[in-house]
Amino acid sequence: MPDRNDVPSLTEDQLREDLRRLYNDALPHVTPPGVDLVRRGAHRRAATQTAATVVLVALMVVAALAQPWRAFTGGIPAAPPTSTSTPVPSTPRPESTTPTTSASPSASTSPSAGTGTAQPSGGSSTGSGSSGGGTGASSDDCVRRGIVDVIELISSGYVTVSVRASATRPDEFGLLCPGETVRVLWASYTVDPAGAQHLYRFEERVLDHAQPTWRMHIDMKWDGLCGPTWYVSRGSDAIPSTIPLGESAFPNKVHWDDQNAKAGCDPTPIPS
Amino acid sequence: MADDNTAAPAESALPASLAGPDESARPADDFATFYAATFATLCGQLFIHTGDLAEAQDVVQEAFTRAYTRWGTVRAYDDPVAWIRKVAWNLATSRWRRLRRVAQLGYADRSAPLPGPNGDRVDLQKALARLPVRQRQAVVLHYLADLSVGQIAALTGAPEGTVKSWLHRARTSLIGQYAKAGDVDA
Repeated sequence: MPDRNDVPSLTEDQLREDLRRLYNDALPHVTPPGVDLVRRGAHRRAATQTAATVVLVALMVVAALAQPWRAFTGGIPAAPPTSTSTPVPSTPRPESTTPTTSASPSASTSPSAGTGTAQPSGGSSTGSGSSGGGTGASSDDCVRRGIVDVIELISSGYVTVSVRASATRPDEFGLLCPGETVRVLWASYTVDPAGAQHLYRFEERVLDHAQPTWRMHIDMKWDGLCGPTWYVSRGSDAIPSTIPLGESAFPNKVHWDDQNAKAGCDPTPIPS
Repeated sequence: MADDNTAAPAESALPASLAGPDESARPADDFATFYAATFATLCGQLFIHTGDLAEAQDVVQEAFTRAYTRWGTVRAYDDPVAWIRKVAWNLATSRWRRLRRVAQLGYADRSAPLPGPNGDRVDLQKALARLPVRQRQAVVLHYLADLSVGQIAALTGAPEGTVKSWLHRARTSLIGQYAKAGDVDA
């Protein structure tokens, strides 16, 4: 039985009735596209994943074959990545880094948010250092774009986001070139009643040709009744420890949710 | 599993075989029955949330597509509807998806009022559209899908107190806007 709060029942019932009427008005206009379209969509999704995997493998094979050939012919070899993957996990946990393009949100209750207690203490990376969108030497015929895509989003207490340097349409955007690196990061914030955001957790990695995907789990915490905010960004964006109300951060962000800080958070407890 | 499927009328009218694994039913038939029984209900709820029937159909269809690829697992859940609902709502509230859709459509505000004049309906749609996303989501799930505060908390990942707060503020806001509309009408 749904909980009832302290609004007069007449008003609550009226609201329920009005919503139901609106809903009933809409139902005749709902035209299910049909199970066949579901099947076709699922097959298309599977085909896309297969094609992307094949292209990726083919490019890796080509890159692997090109290296000795270039050395033999005196060509310019591809430089090694400028830096390797440097995760800075505030709460270490096993991460899947395999490209998983199929969403698999758990329908079970998600882990409770806010298991952590403090801001990151080992925050050695605050935006400096690793290269931003597509730097580093690479083979001549590879176009470096440094694009970062969110290829999967699952939101449930924790937010799970997969990002992939390069794109979901490799035929159009190409993949990361050998030697090309892209720094990717996430940061989560608690929000105080004034709407200021305070850094709670963050992590960053450098994606490269060999590991162009990162499935990240964004760890966040509710501060009383104030919900968290979070950002996924790329490039040389700094990770501010505090973001005052009305100010924006992460100019290169690719995915984020800052709604809880938009107008401040009113933590006034409601009457029981 | 956080939610239950005792909520919305069409969902509670699901065949018993859908409440859990049924090895005797063919998965394909099972899915078709499930789709037919739940699509409209979920779509109607999402329509109230998004104000856009095409968008609602789109996210619900996408949720079913994802369920289809792993139907063997989803159908074994105590409440497959809760799984679909969760995916659909996640899709509907995904900023990334909204931005992509805006880019596809070329404009940001796409409301699709249903045909036919109805002042009350328009007032309610406008009032809902003014609510913050999470408050609107809580209202639809609570008053339309008949989910409890605890179930909404499980679905959204927010504490129960926060969900109560969303509902309280949403009601206050809606009542205020109704009152204004009444004043104007008068």
